[in-house]
Amino acid sequence: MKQKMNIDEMIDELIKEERNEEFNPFLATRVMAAVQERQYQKEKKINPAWKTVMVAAGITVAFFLGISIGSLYESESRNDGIMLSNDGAMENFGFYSQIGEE
Amino acid sequence: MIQNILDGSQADFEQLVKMYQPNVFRTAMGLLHNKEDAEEITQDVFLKVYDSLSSFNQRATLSTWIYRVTINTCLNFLKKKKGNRLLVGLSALLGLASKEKQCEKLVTDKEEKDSIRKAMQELPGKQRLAFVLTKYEELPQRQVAEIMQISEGAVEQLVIRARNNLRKKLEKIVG
Repeated sequence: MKQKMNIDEMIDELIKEERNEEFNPFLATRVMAAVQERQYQKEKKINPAWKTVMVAAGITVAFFLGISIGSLYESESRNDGIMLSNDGAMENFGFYSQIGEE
Repeated sequence: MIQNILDGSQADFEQLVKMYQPNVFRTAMGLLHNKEDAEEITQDVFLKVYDSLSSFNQRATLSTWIYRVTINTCLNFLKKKKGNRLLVGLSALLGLASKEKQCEKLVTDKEEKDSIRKAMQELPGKQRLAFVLTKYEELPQRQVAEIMQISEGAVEQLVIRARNNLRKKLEKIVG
């Protein structure tokens, strides 16, 4: 019985000791640094492919946008007539019209 | 908090790390009995949590999920350490050598502790898990049952059997 108690005490003592073991106070900082490093590595891995894709997509979009904007333009065909007349010859119109009436 | 982390908030993740690291570390200590290994595992666990938080099923509580990740990481670590069986064998041989000393009642404190650690390592998997979660983490049976996905009664039985097995193993050594 005494031995049983002794063994139980030994086990409990070890558990208590290991439970109270202090971890590195910078463990959280270490974890965060590892997380950031992993994040950076992920972005680095993804970037080159994405860069190429994005540049190609940008050029394609710009090309088609240029075409579509260009084809939106319609030249207006005006039917209005313009007459350029010389002021000095304006009176002749009256003269000619009078002749017509005669 | 989880949503914030998923949205990329590292401050929230750091808060989560600080909140759960004592639990992860203690559980790892209980399973590995080595401070350096437990710290390494703690770091690995949080990296896994960060990577797979999006797959976290909110039917379980976050702590239960983190305990499961911790246990799996520790078990994988121990599997990888199988290569070190030679060392375990050597320590067993040393244990035999030290038995003579034990007969002379000259068992040192360190030898005693190593014997307990070894006895714990040799417990069947489920007994060991139930024992560590109950004794090291002092978790209620309900939560241990949830983590191990067994009934509360089964947890109680496992802890009792673990304690009895430890006694048997240590009685042989202590004599």
